[in-house]
Amino acid sequence: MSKAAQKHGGSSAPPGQDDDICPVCKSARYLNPNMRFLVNPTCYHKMCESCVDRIFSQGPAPCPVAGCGRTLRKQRFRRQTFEDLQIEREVDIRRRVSTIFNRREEEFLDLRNWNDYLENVETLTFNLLYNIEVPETEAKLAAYAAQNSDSISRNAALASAEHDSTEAAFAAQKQAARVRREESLREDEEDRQDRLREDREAQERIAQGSTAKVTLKKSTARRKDGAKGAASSGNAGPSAAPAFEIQGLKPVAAPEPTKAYDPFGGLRIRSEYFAQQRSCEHPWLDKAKNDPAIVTGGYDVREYCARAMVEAFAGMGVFVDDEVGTGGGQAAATERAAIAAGTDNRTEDVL
Amino acid sequence: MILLNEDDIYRSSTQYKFWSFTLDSLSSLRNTTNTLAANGVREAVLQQKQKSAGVGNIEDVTIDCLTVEEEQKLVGFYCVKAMQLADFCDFPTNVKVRLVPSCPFAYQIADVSRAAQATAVQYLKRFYLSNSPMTYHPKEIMRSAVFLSTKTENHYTSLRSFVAKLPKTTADDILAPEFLLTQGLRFTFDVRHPHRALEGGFMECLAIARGQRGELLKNTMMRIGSSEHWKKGAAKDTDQLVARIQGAHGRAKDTLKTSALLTDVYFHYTPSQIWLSAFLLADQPLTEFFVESAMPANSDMKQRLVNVLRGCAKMLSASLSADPGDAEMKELMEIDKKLYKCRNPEKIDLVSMNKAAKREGGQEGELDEKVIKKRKLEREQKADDVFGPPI
Repeated sequence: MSKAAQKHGGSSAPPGQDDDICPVCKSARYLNPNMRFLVNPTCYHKMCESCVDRIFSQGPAPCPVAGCGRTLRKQRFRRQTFEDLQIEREVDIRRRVSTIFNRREEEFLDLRNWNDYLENVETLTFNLLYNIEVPETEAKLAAYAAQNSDSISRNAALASAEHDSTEAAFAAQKQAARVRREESLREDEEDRQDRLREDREAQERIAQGSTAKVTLKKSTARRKDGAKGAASSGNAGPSAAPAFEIQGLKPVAAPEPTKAYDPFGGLRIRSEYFAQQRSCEHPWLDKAKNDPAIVTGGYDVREYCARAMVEAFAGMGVFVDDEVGTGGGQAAATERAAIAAGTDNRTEDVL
Repeated sequence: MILLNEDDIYRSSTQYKFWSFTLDSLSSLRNTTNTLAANGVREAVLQQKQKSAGVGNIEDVTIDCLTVEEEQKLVGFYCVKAMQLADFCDFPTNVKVRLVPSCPFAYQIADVSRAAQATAVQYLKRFYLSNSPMTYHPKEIMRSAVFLSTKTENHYTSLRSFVAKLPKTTADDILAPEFLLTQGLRFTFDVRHPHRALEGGFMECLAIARGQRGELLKNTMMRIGSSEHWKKGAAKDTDQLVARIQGAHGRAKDTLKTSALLTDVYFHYTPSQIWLSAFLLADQPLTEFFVESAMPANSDMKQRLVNVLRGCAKMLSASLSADPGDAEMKELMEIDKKLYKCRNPEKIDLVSMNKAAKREGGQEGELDEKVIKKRKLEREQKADDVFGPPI
C-alpha cells in the first residue's frame, strides 16, 4: 500500500475490516485487535468472527440483525472481497448466472442472435439483482440449467481449457524471462571472471618480464557472442522457448480423426493383362533369393518380379500409330497421360 | 478412386509423350532436321567465306550436303560404335546381381550394363532426330552419350577412368557436348527398355508351363505345334516345354540386344510390344498363345496387337547388322568424306563453344582481370535491381 493511501487515513486492512465496531455484539477493535468481519451471501449482513462462532456453532440460526431474520449457516460465512457489499452481492449473482448461461459467440449464427441472448441474460441478472420477480426468474434459471446441462458442461470444459492454456503460456513466459535473467547474470559473472583472469595473467607476465606474445583482448561483444553460442549449444531446453507468446488465440476445435495415409492419393493399379502372383521363378533369381548380400539389405526378389511383370505388359494395348498419329488420338492420349502423370513417380516406386 | 492399368502407366512415361512417332511423322521430322541443318551449313560457310575474302567477292557456294538416308547410315554406324565402346569399357554384359555403388545397402537385380549400352544408343537416336550429323559429328556426341548413360543407368564410372580408356580424348571432350545432348534429349533421361519386360514375360511363360496359372492353360500350351526354331512339335512333358520357352527367350534376348537398338522400333512401339515381337520372331505360335492368354477374354484387341507385332517384327528383322561388312564400311567411309566437306564450321569446336557459353568465357588468361571484375560488378548490380534493367 502506498504512503498516500495511509496519509488519507486508510489502513492496509482488507475491505470491510476498517469498521471498528461489530454491529451485532458492539465489541470494538480497541478491545480485540484481531477482530475479523465476515458476511454470509444470503443476506450480506456483516458481523465479527466471534459472533459467528457464538451464534451459528449450534447449527442454522436466524440472522441476528434486526428485521432480517433469515436462516444462515456457519459454513457459508466468508471474508468479503469488495468494500461495497452491494457489489459483493452483484458479483456473486453474476458469477452464478454466468456459470449457467455460458454460451459462446461462435455458437450463434449471427451477431443479432448473440446480442439477443446477451440481453435476455442481462434482464435475468438485473431481476435477480434488484429483486424483481425473483421466484419466476429462479424458475427460469433452473429450467434452463436442466434443459442445457450438456452444452453447459461442454462450454465449462472449454473455458477451463482456455484458462489452463493461458495459465500455461503465462507460466512459460515467466520461466523464459527467468532463464534469460539467469543467463545474463551468469554471463556478467563469467565476464567479470575473464577480466580478472586476464588482468592477473597480464600482471604475471609483467612480473616475469617475459617477451611472450601479447594477446589482444577479446572485445566484450565478441566474448559475449562466444559465450552465448556455447550456452545455447549447451542447454537448448529452456532458452529454446519462444521469446514472446501470442495470447488470447481462438482455441481450435478438435480436428477430424486423420484417415490412414494413402501414398497414391486414391489411385489404384489394376492389372488388366495378368494375374499378379507374388511368387515367380526365374533361373537367375534362385541364387539371389538366398544371397545374404541381397536379403540382408531388405531387398525382396519379388519386387523385381512384380516390376518385371508390370513392364512386360505396360503399353501392350497402346498403339502408337493410332494414338499419336491422328489429332483426336493424340488428345485422348495426352488426356490419359495427364491422368497418369499425376502419379507418375509414385506408381513407379511401387512397381 | 482412379484405376490405372498397365497401359496408363506406360502413357505416363516421357517415352510415350515425347518420343513416340508414327512412320510418317518420324520421317518428316528427319527431313525437316536435315533441311534446316543443310541451310545452316550453307549460311555458315557463306559467312566464313565473306569474312576471309572480304566484301564484294562472294560467289554462290554450292555444298553437297548429306541426305537423310546418309545421315541415318552414319548415325546407325555410330550406334554400333557406341555399343562396342560400352563393351570395351568393361561395362559387363552378363546378367548378374549388382551392387549399386551409390547406395551400398540397395541392391538391384538388373543388367545395368546392358541398360547403359542400350540407353546410350537410344540417346544417340533421339538426339539425331532434332540434330543433324552435319551440325554435330556423331563421333563426339557418341562418347558423351555413353558417359551420360552410365550416369542415368546407375552404372557410375568416373570421368577420369572413362577418359583413360579412350584414345586422344580429354575430359573436356566428353563434357563439352553433354549439355547439348541433354538439350537434344529434351531433358528426358528415362528410356523404357524391353529387356526387363522380356524377363517378366519369360517368368509368366514359365509359370504357365509349370501349371501355376491353371492346368487348362498348361495343357493348351503343351499342344502348341512346331515353329521355325522348334522342330519337335508339341511338347511331351513339362521339361520339354520349359526348354522350348528358354530357347525362345534366349533368341529374343539376342534380338533385343542388337536389332531392337539399331532400328527405330523404340519410336514406333511400346517396350511390351517390342519384346513380344522379338519373341514372335523366336517362336511364333508360342507368342500367339501367350498374347491370347494375357488378353481379356472378349477383347478384339488381340488381332490388332498381332498385326502390330508383325509390323514390329518385320522392322526388327530388317535391322542393320551389328558388324558392318567391307562394302558397308566403304560406303560409310564415303559418307564420312562427304561429311568432312559439309560440316557446319561454326559448330566444329565444341569444347571452346562450351567454354564460351560459360560465365567467364574463354580460357584463363584470355580475359584480363579488369574485364572479369567489370562483368562481376555488372552482375551484382543486376542482382540488386529486383525488376531488372529499365526497358
